[in-house]
Amino acid sequence: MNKQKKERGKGEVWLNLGCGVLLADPPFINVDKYFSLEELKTGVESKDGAWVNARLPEGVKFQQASMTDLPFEDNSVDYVESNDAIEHLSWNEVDVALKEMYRVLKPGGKLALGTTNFDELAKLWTLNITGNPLKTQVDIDRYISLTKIIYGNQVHPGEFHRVPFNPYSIAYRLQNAGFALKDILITMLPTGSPITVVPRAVEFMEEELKKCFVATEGMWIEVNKQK
Amino acid sequence: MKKEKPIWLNLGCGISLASDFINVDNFLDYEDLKKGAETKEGFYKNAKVMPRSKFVKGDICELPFEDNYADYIEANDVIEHIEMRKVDKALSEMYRVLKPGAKLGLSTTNFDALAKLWTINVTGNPLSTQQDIDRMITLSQVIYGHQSTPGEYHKVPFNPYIIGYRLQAAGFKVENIKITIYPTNSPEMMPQLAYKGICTNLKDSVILTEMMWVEAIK
Repeated sequence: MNKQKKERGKGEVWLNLGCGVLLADPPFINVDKYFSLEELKTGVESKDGAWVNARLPEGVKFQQASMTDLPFEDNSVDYVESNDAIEHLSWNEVDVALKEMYRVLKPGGKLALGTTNFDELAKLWTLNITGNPLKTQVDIDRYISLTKIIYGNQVHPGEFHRVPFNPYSIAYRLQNAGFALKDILITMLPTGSPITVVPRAVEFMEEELKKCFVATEGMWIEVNKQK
Repeated sequence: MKKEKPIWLNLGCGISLASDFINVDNFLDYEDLKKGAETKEGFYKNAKVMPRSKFVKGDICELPFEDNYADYIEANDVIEHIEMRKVDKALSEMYRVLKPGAKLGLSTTNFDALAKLWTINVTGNPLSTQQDIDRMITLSQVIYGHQSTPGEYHKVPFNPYIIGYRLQAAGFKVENIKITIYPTNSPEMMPQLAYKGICTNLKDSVILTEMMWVEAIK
């Protein structure tokens, strides 16, 4: 499996944007604006607070940069992946970041995004929280879990959510960034990601939100830059 | 004997300093506000320094006032801007500063209504007209804040039960908490502006319920 992974990206440039503390194996170049590689290394060793789930694979590639100002040349990247990151940008940064992704991709290169589907979050809220008198600890925990999914876990300045997406709104923004509608594919989980960070969010949801009628609060979006 | 003037606090006042209130905000300076209210430039476009208003710079989670100091505390569209883990501290501070028997007045958005508004207006809407796009953007900004300055981000959702739960955690008794949907009894009426903004943009909405007015007596 590992060998297969390595061969798959051989000779190609892959980016993992807004990696947070979950860094992907090479050939991915992990990008995040909130840390330096030194801070990541120290944090992973400490294992406390924001770092409890941190992952720093052997031979990791990392570059500190903002998603709104990518330090890569036009048409230089084969594959861009970004998991649970675009909802952390502020409203005005989203279009800039998607344009940057479009710019750095080679013609025919692929962008893949994992993000939450606000349609489902709104339904989950209505189903679980509206009218719930919060009388038991289970109910209170459920409200707090859903709050974290909607507004971010807030353990770090980077861990706030600032924009709601659904399939139509992400497609609208991808078209603003230059991608063609016919090239956009949006699926609900499970994803085709080699990193598979997103399914963990679903497991967490299912555990925390018993009445949850979905495995669709996460979206996986794939789009190729036109050749 | 001269009757003392009651102490009214307006917490998280932003750029609008209310008459007869001590207005409190941690993101702004009084000199900038006074200047801004004259020039009305950029961020200060709607700045107001009303007659008989005072200003104190201070953190809502560490209020620069003594225990049992205030006769009335009001905070309009403020508590949803506080980080999740700091909300309890802020409400405890309000409780501490209020005189026994004095009232707290809060306005905030009701996330129950926002979730319904999203489901009705945005879910399944293919965004094929500019009106639909504007509606999605307006609602996004009501949910997450309009993000024009670092203070203008929303970080927590409230509904009547949640605010009731949090106020009890801060020390208020459930029988002293009253939550109403608009219109409010606020002397300031600032939230009405937000309400008008939503009404204009969301035609089929279920509103009149997206804002809450919360009163709690110590």
